[in-house]
Amino acid sequence: MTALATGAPDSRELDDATALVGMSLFLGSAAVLFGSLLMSYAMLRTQQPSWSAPAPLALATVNTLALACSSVALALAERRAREGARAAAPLALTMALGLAFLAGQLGVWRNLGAPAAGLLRSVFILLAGSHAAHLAAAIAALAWAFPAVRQAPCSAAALRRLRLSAMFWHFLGAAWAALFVTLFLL
Amino acid sequence: MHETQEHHPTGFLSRVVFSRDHKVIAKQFLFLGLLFLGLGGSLALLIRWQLAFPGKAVPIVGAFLFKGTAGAISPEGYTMLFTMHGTIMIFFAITPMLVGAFGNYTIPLMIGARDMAFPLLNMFSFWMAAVSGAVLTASFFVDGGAATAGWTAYPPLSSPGPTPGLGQTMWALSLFLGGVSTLMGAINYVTTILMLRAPGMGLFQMPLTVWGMGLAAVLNAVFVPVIAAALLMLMLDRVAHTGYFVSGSQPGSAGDPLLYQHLFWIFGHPEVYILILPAWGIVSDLLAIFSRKPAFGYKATALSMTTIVVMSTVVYGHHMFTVGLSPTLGKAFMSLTMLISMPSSVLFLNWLGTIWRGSIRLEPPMLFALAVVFVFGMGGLTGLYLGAITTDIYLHDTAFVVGHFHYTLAASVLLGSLAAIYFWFPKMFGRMLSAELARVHFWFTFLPLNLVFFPMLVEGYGGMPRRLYEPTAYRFLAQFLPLNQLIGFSAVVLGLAQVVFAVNVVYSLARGQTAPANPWEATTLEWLTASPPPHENFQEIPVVHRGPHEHSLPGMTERDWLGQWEPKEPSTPSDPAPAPIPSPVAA
Repeated sequence: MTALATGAPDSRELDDATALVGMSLFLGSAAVLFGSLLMSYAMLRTQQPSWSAPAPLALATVNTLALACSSVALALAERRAREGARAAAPLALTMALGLAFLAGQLGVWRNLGAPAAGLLRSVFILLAGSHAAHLAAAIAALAWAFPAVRQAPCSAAALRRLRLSAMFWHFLGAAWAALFVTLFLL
Repeated sequence: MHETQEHHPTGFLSRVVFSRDHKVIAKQFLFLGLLFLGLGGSLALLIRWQLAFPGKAVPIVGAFLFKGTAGAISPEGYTMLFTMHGTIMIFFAITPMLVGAFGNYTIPLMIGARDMAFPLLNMFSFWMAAVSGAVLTASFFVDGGAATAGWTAYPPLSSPGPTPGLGQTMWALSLFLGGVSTLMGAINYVTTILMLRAPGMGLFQMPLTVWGMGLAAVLNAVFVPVIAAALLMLMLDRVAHTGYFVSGSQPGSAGDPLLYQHLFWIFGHPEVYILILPAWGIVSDLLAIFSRKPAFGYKATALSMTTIVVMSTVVYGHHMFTVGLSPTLGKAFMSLTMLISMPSSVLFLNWLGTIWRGSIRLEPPMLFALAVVFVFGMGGLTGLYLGAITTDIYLHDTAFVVGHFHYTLAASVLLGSLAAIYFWFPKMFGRMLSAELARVHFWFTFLPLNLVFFPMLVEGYGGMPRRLYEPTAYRFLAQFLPLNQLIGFSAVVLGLAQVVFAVNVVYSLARGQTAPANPWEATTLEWLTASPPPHENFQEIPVVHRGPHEHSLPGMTERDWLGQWEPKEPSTPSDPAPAPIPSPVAA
């Protein structure tokens, strides 16, 4: 019938396309969340009598680079898994870099003071905190995929887990890029 | 071919409590919604008591509920009542019933799928909603009582200064969790509709119910995160004293209470459509089935709903005409709001076109569907006064607004939910509801409903503000006291009528007549399978051959309907053309 009509309606197993659609919808919603927070940030910042960049730029830059490297490592892990090779090492590196990023963010927060210390700091904590919560969930998703991906070659289901978690991970990388530019450079 | 029962869970916990079956989850949502509907309705009766007999002790329950004030409702208690009434009805009664219960029940069955795309996520969605409801209910019992800042919870009213109690924080947390639940459902619904339709079921072969549910889910997926952001900031303001929404709370910084209003209504206006779209879809299908006609302008109806969804995202400013928007912005929002009347009118006229010259069967679902047409018309027309800046400035924050949104939301959506319950109850539980009790329920719901909400329009036009503890204490509003008493008595009748409904449900569950597979002679896929459907819905996935409402077509001789699953006759040119039979819908 139509091109949109499903190909395999009687399959009880989750197929790749369905999983992809579900994950894309979730990422779309998450994008709206970060968009709303950025909009709030813009509305609050434009009303301030004065503005100064709120945080240690050097540490934040190191953090950002760590997260960028984690995405590269994850892309490598995904390619290896797809080719039937062992993907455990780059995947472990991805998670380690993710944890390092979270630790680094904690370091940035330490230098910011308590939430009540100022509205600008509050806004930073809102944006970076929401992002960190999502990244923690993404680390958990990778950890959930890890045991099945460790075998080479891994199953189709394991590959799908890895692919979905990777979508989430790369999305969070892109979201952090937007947040970093907004918070530290603009 | 698969064995249909191969994955049938057998334990009580996995079958009834932590089920992943969309039909069981739908029932869980239905009972959750009905429970909160009863609670929210009771709160409404207390509100109406205060307005009809200000400061008098509430009969029967007053001595138990309001011990400190000798049975009378205090001003603080009154604000809590209307705050919790609104919150409960919108997020914990209507949403679980229409979106949670009927979204879950109808989508897989109507598109010919075995279940939702993500059954485990579906289960989490229900339990998250249950936790959210529990948090809200628990907030009644904490020190200082439940939330009091109105269902909109505008700061600074909802900031820690004016409302220091834990109840207001729990309100925000509960809505946040409810949002997570809704989001999980929305992702599931959209994916299921896009990916799991039976062979032959294109988008324009889908029943309009599925269109309504799917579009509402799209709006949920897009806009729930916006209110989540607002609630997150509200919670941080309350717990960590951050001051996003409070001006001057910290040295050298200024929060902005209007930011909350923007975020709230960017979500809040689509939310209105999230609630009404499922009801529109259900009513569109029911009108066709019980008029024994194809839905008039099926494609136009589906596309109007889609247009309304798109436009609903750019009109939220009409909730904020009086906050001091730039006049240019206000005019833009007004024009966009007025433009929504056009697709809405297409939808409405298509409903009238559907019942026009149909062979109408006034079964209980049809009575409620027709009532929705009436009350939605009332709600839509009164909306025009609030969408135009000049009239809105006068009517803003009066009882007129309350009357208007109760006509669109409470009346349309409640009657739409009841139509859905009467229609799908036989499929869900395998038993028929009593039609006689249903008619009693209908008339004692529909008439008092109008006696409750129409006078509110009059009072608002007369200048009565909403949310006042004792508006009739003002001399110019004292004339409305008798009208408030009329509303109060009508509300009591309306409440008692729901007892008839409850009796009908309980009696029919136990002793009702056994339902056949297709008691309404309807054409959509859920009526192909048994009542109630087996685990995984269909013995064999049906193939769809025709549109959703093939009723009374020329050439139908034995019966006036053909199910979507029935193959078209192979046309043999040698056969003489079948003589057109006289049908109630003369061509």
